[in-house]
Amino acid sequence: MNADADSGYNKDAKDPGKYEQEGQKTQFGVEAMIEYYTKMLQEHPLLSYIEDAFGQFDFGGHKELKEKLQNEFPTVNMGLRQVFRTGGFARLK
Amino acid sequence: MYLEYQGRNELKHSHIWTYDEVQASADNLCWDNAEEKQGLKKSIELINGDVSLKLADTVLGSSIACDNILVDFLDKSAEGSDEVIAKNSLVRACSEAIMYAVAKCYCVNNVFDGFKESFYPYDEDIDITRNTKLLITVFNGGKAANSAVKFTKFYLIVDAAAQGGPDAADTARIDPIRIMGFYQKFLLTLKKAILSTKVGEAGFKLGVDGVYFNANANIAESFKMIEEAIVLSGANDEGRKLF
Repeated sequence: MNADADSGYNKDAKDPGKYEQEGQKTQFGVEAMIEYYTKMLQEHPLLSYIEDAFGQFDFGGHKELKEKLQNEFPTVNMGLRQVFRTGGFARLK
Repeated sequence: MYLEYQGRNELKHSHIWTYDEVQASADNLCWDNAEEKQGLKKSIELINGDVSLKLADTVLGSSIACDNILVDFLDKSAEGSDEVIAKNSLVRACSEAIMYAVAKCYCVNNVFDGFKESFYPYDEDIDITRNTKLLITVFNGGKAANSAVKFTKFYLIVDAAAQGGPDAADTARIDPIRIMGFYQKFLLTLKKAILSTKVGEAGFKLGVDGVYFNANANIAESFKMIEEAIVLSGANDEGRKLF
Protein backbone atom coordinates (compact mmCIF):
# COMPACT_ATOMS: atom_id res chain seq x y z
CA MET A 1 0.00 0.00 0.00
CA ASN A 2 0.95 3.63 -0.42
CA ALA A 3 0.60 5.44 2.92
CA ASP A 4 0.93 8.94 1.42
CA ALA A 5 2.34 10.17 4.72
CA ASP A 6 3.48 13.40 3.10
CA SER A 7 -0.09 14.65 2.86
CA GLY A 8 -0.38 14.63 6.65
CA TYR A 9 3.11 15.92 7.47
CA ASN A 10 3.76 19.22 9.27
CA LYS A 11 0.09 20.16 9.41
CA ASP A 12 0.24 21.70 12.88
CA ALA A 13 2.50 24.75 12.99
CA LYS A 14 2.72 24.50 16.79
CA ASP A 15 3.87 20.90 16.61
CA PRO A 16 6.09 20.57 13.51
CA GLY A 17 7.66 17.40 12.18
CA LYS A 18 4.66 15.30 13.13
CA TYR A 19 2.19 13.24 11.13
CA GLU A 20 -1.55 13.53 11.20
CA GLN A 21 -2.43 9.87 11.02
CA GLU A 22 -5.79 9.28 12.65
CA GLY A 23 -7.55 12.60 12.55
CA GLN A 24 -6.34 16.10 13.27
CA LYS A 25 -6.05 15.59 17.02
CA THR A 26 -3.60 12.73 16.74
CA GLN A 27 -0.11 13.83 15.80
CA PHE A 28 2.42 11.03 15.41
CA GLY A 29 6.19 11.38 15.66
CA VAL A 30 8.55 9.00 13.84
CA GLU A 31 8.51 6.48 16.68
CA ALA A 32 4.72 6.43 16.85
CA MET A 33 4.52 6.05 13.08
CA ILE A 34 6.88 3.07 13.16
CA GLU A 35 4.79 1.55 15.94
CA TYR A 36 1.69 2.14 13.82
CA TYR A 37 3.22 0.35 10.82
CA THR A 38 4.55 -2.45 13.01
CA LYS A 39 1.09 -3.11 14.41
CA MET A 40 -0.34 -3.07 10.89
CA LEU A 41 2.23 -5.60 9.67
CA GLN A 42 1.49 -7.87 12.61
CA GLU A 43 -2.26 -7.72 11.95
CA HIS A 44 -1.94 -8.13 8.18
CA PRO A 45 0.68 -10.75 7.37
CA LEU A 46 -0.08 -10.49 3.64
CA LEU A 47 1.14 -6.90 3.64
CA SER A 48 4.51 -7.02 1.92
CA TYR A 49 5.16 -3.52 0.60
CA ILE A 50 4.90 -0.07 2.19
CA GLU A 51 5.29 2.95 -0.03
CA ASP A 52 5.77 6.56 1.10
CA ALA A 53 5.60 5.65 4.76
CA PHE A 54 7.04 9.06 5.72
CA GLY A 55 7.16 12.56 4.30
CA GLN A 56 8.98 13.27 1.05
CA PHE A 57 12.19 14.41 2.75
CA ASP A 58 11.87 12.77 6.13
CA PHE A 59 14.92 10.63 5.48
CA GLY A 60 15.35 9.91 9.20
CA GLY A 61 11.92 8.28 9.31
CA HIS A 62 12.59 6.23 6.19
CA LYS A 63 15.94 5.09 7.59
CA GLU A 64 14.44 3.99 10.91
CA LEU A 65 11.65 2.09 9.19
CA LYS A 66 14.12 0.38 6.87
CA GLU A 67 16.14 -0.83 9.86
CA LYS A 68 12.98 -2.02 11.59
CA LEU A 69 11.87 -3.96 8.52
CA GLN A 70 15.28 -5.51 7.97
CA ASN A 71 15.42 -6.70 11.57
CA GLU A 72 11.84 -7.77 12.20
CA PHE A 73 10.03 -8.09 8.86
CA PRO A 74 12.66 -9.15 6.30
CA THR A 75 10.08 -10.10 3.66
CA VAL A 76 8.50 -6.64 3.68
CA ASN A 77 9.84 -4.08 1.24
CA MET A 78 9.52 -0.30 1.27
CA GLY A 79 9.31 2.16 -1.61
CA LEU A 80 9.81 5.91 -2.02
CA ARG A 81 7.58 7.29 -4.74
CA GLN A 82 7.27 10.84 -3.45
CA VAL A 83 11.02 11.42 -3.54
CA PHE A 84 10.73 11.50 -7.33
CA ARG A 85 8.36 14.45 -7.26
CA THR A 86 9.49 17.96 -8.16
CA GLY A 87 12.67 18.95 -6.36
CA GLY A 88 13.36 15.49 -5.00
CA PHE A 89 16.59 14.84 -6.83
CA ALA A 90 17.92 18.31 -6.04
CA ARG A 91 17.41 17.68 -2.33
CA LEU A 92 19.09 14.28 -2.56
CA LYS A 93 22.19 15.86 -4.14
CA MET B 1 -0.61 -4.90 -29.13
CA TYR B 2 -0.62 -1.65 -27.17
CA LEU B 3 -4.36 -1.73 -26.96
CA GLU B 4 -4.60 -5.39 -26.17
CA TYR B 5 -2.07 -5.06 -23.40
CA GLN B 6 -4.02 -2.31 -21.66
CA GLY B 7 -7.40 -3.38 -22.96
CA ARG B 8 -10.14 -2.69 -20.48
CA ASN B 9 -13.82 -2.17 -20.88
CA GLU B 10 -16.65 -0.66 -18.92
CA LEU B 11 -18.69 -3.81 -18.69
CA LYS B 12 -16.13 -5.88 -16.96
CA HIS B 13 -13.24 -4.79 -14.81
CA SER B 14 -10.47 -6.46 -16.69
CA HIS B 15 -6.81 -6.49 -17.43
CA ILE B 16 -4.98 -8.17 -20.26
CA TRP B 17 -4.85 -11.28 -18.11
CA THR B 18 -8.62 -11.49 -18.15
CA TYR B 19 -9.15 -9.80 -21.48
CA ASP B 20 -12.01 -11.30 -23.36
CA GLU B 21 -11.60 -10.87 -27.10
CA VAL B 22 -15.21 -11.76 -27.76
CA GLN B 23 -16.49 -8.84 -25.73
CA ALA B 24 -13.88 -6.40 -26.97
CA SER B 25 -15.04 -3.90 -29.52
CA ALA B 26 -14.58 -0.29 -30.39
CA ASP B 27 -17.67 0.43 -28.37
CA ASN B 28 -16.52 -0.69 -24.99
CA LEU B 29 -12.86 0.23 -24.81
CA CYS B 30 -12.83 3.23 -22.52
CA TRP B 31 -9.91 5.26 -23.71
CA ASP B 32 -11.86 8.47 -23.50
CA ASN B 33 -15.32 9.81 -22.84
CA ALA B 34 -17.52 6.74 -22.67
CA GLU B 35 -20.39 8.54 -24.37
CA GLU B 36 -18.29 9.37 -27.37
CA LYS B 37 -17.29 5.73 -28.07
CA GLN B 38 -14.38 6.77 -30.26
CA GLY B 39 -11.59 5.75 -27.90
CA LEU B 40 -10.18 2.89 -29.91
CA LYS B 41 -10.11 4.89 -33.14
CA LYS B 42 -8.44 7.86 -31.47
CA SER B 43 -5.87 5.67 -29.74
CA ILE B 44 -4.86 4.03 -33.00
CA GLU B 45 -4.55 7.41 -34.68
CA LEU B 46 -2.34 8.65 -31.86
CA ILE B 47 -0.10 5.56 -31.89
CA ASN B 48 0.26 5.53 -35.66
CA GLY B 49 0.73 9.29 -35.73
CA ASP B 50 2.38 11.27 -32.95
CA VAL B 51 3.77 8.39 -30.89
CA SER B 52 5.29 6.59 -33.89
CA LEU B 53 6.87 9.80 -35.14
CA LYS B 54 8.52 10.28 -31.76
CA LEU B 55 9.98 6.78 -31.77
CA ALA B 56 10.73 6.21 -35.46
CA ASP B 57 14.39 5.77 -36.47
CA THR B 58 15.51 6.01 -32.85
CA VAL B 59 17.91 3.50 -31.38
CA LEU B 60 16.90 2.93 -27.79
CA GLY B 61 19.52 1.60 -25.41
CA SER B 62 17.23 1.04 -22.47
CA SER B 63 13.68 1.20 -21.21
CA ILE B 64 14.55 4.50 -19.54
CA ALA B 65 15.62 6.01 -22.87
CA CYS B 66 12.32 4.88 -24.35
CA ASP B 67 10.32 6.29 -21.44
CA ASN B 68 12.16 9.60 -21.64
CA ILE B 69 10.90 9.98 -25.19
CA LEU B 70 7.38 8.98 -24.21
CA VAL B 71 7.36 11.33 -21.22
CA ASP B 72 7.90 14.24 -23.60
CA PHE B 73 4.71 13.18 -25.25
CA LEU B 74 2.64 13.52 -22.07
CA ASP B 75 0.06 16.21 -22.49
CA LYS B 76 -0.19 18.54 -19.51
CA SER B 77 -2.07 21.26 -21.34
CA ALA B 78 -5.41 20.52 -19.76
CA GLU B 79 -4.88 18.07 -16.93
CA GLY B 80 -8.01 16.25 -15.90
CA SER B 81 -9.83 16.42 -19.20
CA ASP B 82 -10.99 13.15 -20.72
CA GLU B 83 -8.79 13.56 -23.76
CA VAL B 84 -5.64 14.23 -21.76
CA ILE B 85 -6.34 11.33 -19.38
CA ALA B 86 -6.79 9.05 -22.38
CA LYS B 87 -3.63 10.31 -24.04
CA ASN B 88 -1.55 9.91 -20.88
CA SER B 89 -2.97 6.44 -20.28
CA LEU B 90 -1.97 5.59 -23.80
CA VAL B 91 1.61 6.74 -23.16
CA ARG B 92 1.79 4.45 -20.14
CA ALA B 93 0.32 1.63 -22.18
CA CYS B 94 2.95 2.14 -24.90
CA SER B 95 5.73 2.10 -22.32
CA GLU B 96 4.46 -1.17 -20.83
CA ALA B 97 3.88 -2.70 -24.24
CA ILE B 98 7.40 -1.86 -25.41
CA MET B 99 8.84 -3.31 -22.19
CA TYR B 100 6.78 -6.43 -22.84
CA ALA B 101 7.92 -6.59 -26.47
CA VAL B 102 11.59 -6.27 -25.46
CA ALA B 103 11.15 -9.12 -22.98
CA LYS B 104 9.59 -11.20 -25.75
CA CYS B 105 12.68 -10.55 -27.89
CA TYR B 106 14.92 -11.91 -25.14
CA CYS B 107 12.86 -15.00 -24.60
CA VAL B 108 9.92 -15.58 -26.91
CA ASN B 109 8.49 -18.56 -25.06
CA ASN B 110 8.70 -17.22 -21.55
CA VAL B 111 8.15 -13.53 -21.00
CA PHE B 112 9.03 -13.90 -17.34
CA ASP B 113 12.54 -15.05 -18.24
CA GLY B 114 12.65 -12.32 -20.87
CA PHE B 115 12.00 -9.67 -18.22
CA LYS B 116 14.79 -11.07 -16.10
CA GLU B 117 17.27 -11.01 -18.95
CA SER B 118 16.30 -7.55 -20.14
CA PHE B 119 16.43 -6.04 -16.63
CA TYR B 120 19.45 -7.88 -15.25
CA PRO B 121 21.56 -8.63 -18.36
CA TYR B 122 24.89 -8.77 -16.54
CA ASP B 123 23.93 -11.03 -13.66
CA GLU B 124 25.13 -14.53 -14.31
CA ASP B 125 23.69 -15.86 -11.08
CA ILE B 126 20.37 -14.17 -10.69
CA ASP B 127 19.12 -14.32 -7.14
CA ILE B 128 15.58 -15.67 -7.12
CA THR B 129 14.54 -12.94 -4.66
CA ARG B 130 15.31 -10.35 -7.34
CA ASN B 131 12.75 -11.62 -9.78
CA THR B 132 10.54 -8.88 -11.12
CA LYS B 133 7.08 -8.94 -9.60
CA LEU B 134 3.93 -7.55 -11.11
CA LEU B 135 2.32 -4.77 -9.10
CA ILE B 136 -1.34 -4.08 -9.84
CA THR B 137 -3.25 -1.22 -8.23
CA VAL B 138 -6.49 -2.44 -6.66
CA PHE B 139 -7.79 0.77 -5.05
CA ASN B 140 -7.10 4.45 -5.65
CA GLY B 141 -7.87 6.70 -2.69
CA GLY B 142 -6.27 9.33 -0.49
CA LYS B 143 -7.18 12.83 0.53
CA ALA B 144 -6.59 14.25 -2.94
CA ALA B 145 -9.20 11.89 -4.38
CA ASN B 146 -11.69 12.72 -1.60
CA SER B 147 -11.58 9.21 -0.25
CA ALA B 148 -12.25 8.53 3.43
CA VAL B 149 -9.23 6.23 3.35
CA LYS B 150 -6.00 8.17 3.77
CA PHE B 151 -3.77 5.63 2.03
CA THR B 152 -3.65 6.51 -1.65
CA LYS B 153 -3.13 3.08 -3.12
CA PHE B 154 -3.66 -0.54 -2.29
CA TYR B 155 -1.72 -2.89 -4.53
CA LEU B 156 -1.79 -6.54 -5.41
CA ILE B 157 1.72 -7.90 -5.90
CA VAL B 158 1.96 -11.02 -8.04
CA ASP B 159 5.07 -13.10 -7.53
CA ALA B 160 5.16 -15.32 -10.61
CA ALA B 161 8.28 -16.97 -9.23
CA ALA B 162 6.38 -18.34 -6.23
CA GLN B 163 6.99 -22.04 -5.97
CA GLY B 164 5.42 -25.10 -4.45
CA GLY B 165 1.90 -25.70 -3.21
CA PRO B 166 -0.18 -28.85 -3.41
CA ASP B 167 -0.92 -28.44 -7.13
CA ALA B 168 2.75 -28.33 -8.08
CA ALA B 169 4.34 -31.65 -8.89
CA ASP B 170 7.64 -30.38 -7.56
CA THR B 171 9.10 -27.00 -6.76
CA ALA B 172 8.52 -25.76 -10.30
CA ARG B 173 6.93 -22.41 -10.95
CA ILE B 174 3.20 -22.16 -11.22
CA ASP B 175 1.85 -22.34 -14.75
CA PRO B 176 1.09 -18.78 -15.97
CA ILE B 177 -2.36 -19.93 -17.07
CA ARG B 178 -3.10 -20.95 -13.49
CA ILE B 179 -1.88 -17.56 -12.28
CA MET B 180 -4.38 -15.92 -14.63
CA GLY B 181 -7.08 -18.12 -13.14
CA PHE B 182 -6.19 -17.06 -9.60
CA TYR B 183 -6.21 -13.42 -10.66
CA GLN B 184 -9.61 -13.81 -12.28
CA LYS B 185 -10.99 -15.35 -9.09
CA PHE B 186 -9.48 -12.50 -7.10
CA LEU B 187 -11.19 -9.93 -9.31
CA LEU B 188 -14.53 -11.71 -9.20
CA THR B 189 -14.43 -11.98 -5.40
CA LEU B 190 -13.44 -8.36 -5.07
CA LYS B 191 -16.29 -7.32 -7.34
CA LYS B 192 -18.77 -9.37 -5.30
CA ALA B 193 -17.54 -7.69 -2.13
CA ILE B 194 -17.92 -4.28 -3.75
CA LEU B 195 -21.43 -5.07 -4.93
CA SER B 196 -22.39 -6.11 -1.41
CA THR B 197 -21.44 -2.72 0.05
CA LYS B 198 -23.98 0.05 0.62
CA VAL B 199 -22.58 2.24 -2.13
CA GLY B 200 -22.11 -0.65 -4.54
CA GLU B 201 -20.16 -0.43 -7.77
CA ALA B 202 -21.32 3.13 -8.37
CA GLY B 203 -19.49 4.22 -5.22
CA PHE B 204 -16.34 2.31 -6.12
CA LYS B 205 -16.28 3.99 -9.49
CA LEU B 206 -13.87 2.40 -11.93
CA GLY B 207 -11.31 4.92 -13.16
CA VAL B 208 -10.01 5.33 -16.68
CA ASP B 209 -6.96 3.38 -15.55
CA GLY B 210 -9.15 0.39 -14.71
CA VAL B 211 -8.74 0.82 -10.95
CA TYR B 212 -11.55 1.08 -8.41
CA PHE B 213 -11.96 4.25 -6.31
CA ASN B 214 -11.59 3.37 -2.64
CA ALA B 215 -15.04 4.02 -1.19
CA ASN B 216 -14.37 2.07 1.98
CA ALA B 217 -14.80 3.90 5.29
CA ASN B 218 -11.36 3.12 6.63
CA ILE B 219 -8.05 1.34 6.13
CA ALA B 220 -9.14 -1.80 7.99
CA GLU B 221 -12.12 -2.32 5.66
CA SER B 222 -9.87 -1.95 2.63
CA PHE B 223 -7.42 -4.53 3.94
CA LYS B 224 -10.26 -6.91 4.82
CA MET B 225 -11.79 -6.68 1.34
CA ILE B 226 -8.50 -7.39 -0.41
CA GLU B 227 -7.39 -10.08 2.03
CA GLU B 228 -10.65 -11.98 1.66
CA ALA B 229 -10.40 -11.80 -2.12
CA ILE B 230 -6.83 -13.14 -1.94
CA VAL B 231 -7.83 -16.01 0.35
CA LEU B 232 -10.82 -16.99 -1.81
CA SER B 233 -8.77 -16.77 -5.00
CA GLY B 234 -6.76 -19.76 -3.77
CA ALA B 235 -3.53 -18.13 -4.97
CA ASN B 236 -1.75 -18.67 -1.68
CA ASP B 237 -1.32 -22.02 -0.10
CA GLU B 238 0.90 -23.62 2.44
CA GLY B 239 4.42 -22.98 1.30
CA ARG B 240 3.39 -20.76 -1.60
CA LYS B 241 2.74 -17.02 -1.62
CA LEU B 242 1.67 -15.98 -5.09
CA PHE B 243 -0.29 -12.82 -4.06
